[in-house]
Amino acid sequence: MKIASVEAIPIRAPMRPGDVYWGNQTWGKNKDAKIAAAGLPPDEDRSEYPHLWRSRAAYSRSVDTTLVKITTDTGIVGWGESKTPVAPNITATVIRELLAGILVGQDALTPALQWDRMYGAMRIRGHAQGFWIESISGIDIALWDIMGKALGQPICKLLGGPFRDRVKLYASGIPGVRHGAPQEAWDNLRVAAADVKRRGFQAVKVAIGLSTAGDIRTIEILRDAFGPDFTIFTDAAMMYDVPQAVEVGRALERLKVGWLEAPLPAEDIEGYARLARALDIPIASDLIFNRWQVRNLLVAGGVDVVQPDVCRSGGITECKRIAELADAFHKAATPHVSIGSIIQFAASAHLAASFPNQAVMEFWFGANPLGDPIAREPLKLVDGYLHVPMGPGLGIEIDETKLRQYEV
Amino acid sequence: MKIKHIESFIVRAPIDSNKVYWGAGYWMADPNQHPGLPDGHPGDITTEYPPIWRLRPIYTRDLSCVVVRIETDTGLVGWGEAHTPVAPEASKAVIDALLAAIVLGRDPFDIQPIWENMYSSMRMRGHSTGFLLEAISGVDIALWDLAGRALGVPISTLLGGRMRDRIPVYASSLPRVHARSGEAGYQGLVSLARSLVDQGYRAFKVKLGIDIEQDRHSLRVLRQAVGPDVRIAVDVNGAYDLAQARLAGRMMEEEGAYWLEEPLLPENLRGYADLAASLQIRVVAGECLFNRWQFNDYFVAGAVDAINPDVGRAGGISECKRISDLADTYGIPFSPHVSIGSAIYMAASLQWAAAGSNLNMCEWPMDASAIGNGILKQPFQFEGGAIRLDETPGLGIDIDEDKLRRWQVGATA
Repeated sequence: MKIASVEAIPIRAPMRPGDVYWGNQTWGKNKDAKIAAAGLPPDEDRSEYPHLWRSRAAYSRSVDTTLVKITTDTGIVGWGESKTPVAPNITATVIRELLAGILVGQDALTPALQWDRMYGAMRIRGHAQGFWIESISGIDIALWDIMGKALGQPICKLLGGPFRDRVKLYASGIPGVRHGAPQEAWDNLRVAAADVKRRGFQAVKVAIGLSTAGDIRTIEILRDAFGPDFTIFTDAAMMYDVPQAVEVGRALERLKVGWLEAPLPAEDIEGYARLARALDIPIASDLIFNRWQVRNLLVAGGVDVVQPDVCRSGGITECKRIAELADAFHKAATPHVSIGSIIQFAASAHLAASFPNQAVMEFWFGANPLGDPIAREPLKLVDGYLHVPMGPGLGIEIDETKLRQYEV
Repeated sequence: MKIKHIESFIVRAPIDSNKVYWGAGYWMADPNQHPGLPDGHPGDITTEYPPIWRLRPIYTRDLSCVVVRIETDTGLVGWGEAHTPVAPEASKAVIDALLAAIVLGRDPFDIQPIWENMYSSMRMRGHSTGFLLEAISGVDIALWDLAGRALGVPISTLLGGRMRDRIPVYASSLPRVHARSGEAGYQGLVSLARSLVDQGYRAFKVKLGIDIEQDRHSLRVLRQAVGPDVRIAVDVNGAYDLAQARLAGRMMEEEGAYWLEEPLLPENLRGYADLAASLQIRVVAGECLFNRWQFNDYFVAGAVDAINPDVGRAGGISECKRISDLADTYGIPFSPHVSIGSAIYMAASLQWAAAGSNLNMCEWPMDASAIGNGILKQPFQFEGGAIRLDETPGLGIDIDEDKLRRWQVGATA
């Protein structure tokens, strides 16, 4: 069975009027005065240390992603997704200009071999992170979808068999509030907590990293709102330096927070190691981009929970290897699942089902035009658990007409 | 003064009517075939170790790059270049879709804050290498060119002043000789090497890296041809595992090679550290490393004796100067990596080389190219194995825009 065609589909789907992605509310650059009052301080203020603006991310106001459609000469169609929260046409260009030529004509049932061929094509140029690996991720997922469809099995069965048929979720996320924000922003935290509980989740993640005082107050309010037994995780999007992370980490330990995610810049492996030694709270990281980069973090002892993103860290093939590498270090793994389509959610569910060391999985619960609306059957979410779709391949059926309406 | 306009465009120029880029000739199974990994090539699934297909890069048959042109509201223009040996469309898309909005309206002297804004835009998504950094490099070089032109001084002056006016260069690169090409292949190598020495080069690089004894033979005939005083650097582009690299390194020490470049795959930091500790020959890496943090990990681990960052790839002049200064703190010299690209990229490498206290020598493409001297009103001043720099502001070159635009993809006549 040969790969006949590889298509990259850049997607831009509008959010519901008024909706802003939770990460954007906290860490983006917002013109919306109400959101800006609660999020990162203005870019122009470069006198405070550490400099939050040095980690400020670009965000889109729509749901942006790049979908990959691979067709075999026998007519099987596989779907994949490359994470592109901004500027999806960049990734689509990489796939069209470089990767399609590597794949067409190759045996479709060789995802691991194709992974090596793809990675090798830019390896001596050091493209080990970023657009290149994100592009490879989308293709790899599509090849696994084809493999499953060709063999009539869900992907998790082909990864050695699932350890579980449902995956425990945490809802992401609740945007944190900056020190000095108006009272309304603090009151909104309780509204957000009630919303998460009402949806049946048993765990939640909160975006922090805005200021140590504001971050601690945010979690104090949420701990009070959720009660003592609810699981709360935190994500600092690498905004701290080590002393700040220790200060906040100590407070989070007192507040029984489940983990502190991405406290420091990804480049600071030694800082992660120092932090993990200093704190009792588990250190998580979604700043995971290939197995060698994770290995350095694991050898240094800088992380307790490894969170590869299936659409960013190399697809099914590489994320499975990353989880098993973490397991060799006696560390937990769980898919990072941020903004994206139902393909991301399904692929992540198969990985989570197959990880021996699976922790709680992330789930973006915002109104998602690319979630259930582009599939023939909705995902099954019950009491804060995602049931792994057990049809062949990804186990979902894509309604191509519906997704094409958002094609850029 | 504000940035009013940023333009990026793709340049594609032939290498030569009947030549392929030395890297492409080396790696592609059939250089006459279209770029990319040839389908069904017998090397794809192999029993050899390490498997060569795990690092077989894509090449094209021409030279390509992305040129960045930034214009201020006062009419000043700066030129930059992103290193894009393949798929320049990708880096162009990064500049147009992501970076342009960050740059427009800014004071062009805000080079450092703009760099941080560009880097941070994707930092939490881990884009610390690859297309983003290459695109940032192109913008950064253009900003430095603008700053230099605005003040009427070369970039090297703005970087703290010139350490030297003559930049020693080494010719890059002699192709690997296949055993199957026989004595004629080695004769070709020898005549290439002699012609370089005749031109005045005191150093050159040769590609090796399959069979150790075959490579020994190449080094011997080269040494015999050029005498004891010419530096012969060796590049194997990650062909070995650690054990092979040790054996090959010992052979190169015996044969008097100057350095061993990229003996291992770039991810193998620990392997580099073991190798650098056990070999006497200089272990060199850096053409596929990006940003100060990646380089620092190599320095802390004691993994390299010298580095060769690429100004069009690792983050532009801003980041490369930071990297070479950081290297100096560890007692490590630098040699700018200069491969496929235009005179803009070559000039940026020279300006940085002129300002770095710990420069060893600068790589220099040994073949003339239509987008090298071909786009300049005055060619680079090559003399006695070095390039002489004058006081021309900015990048220190005078670009003939008509000649450059001739190679622009999609240009209207």
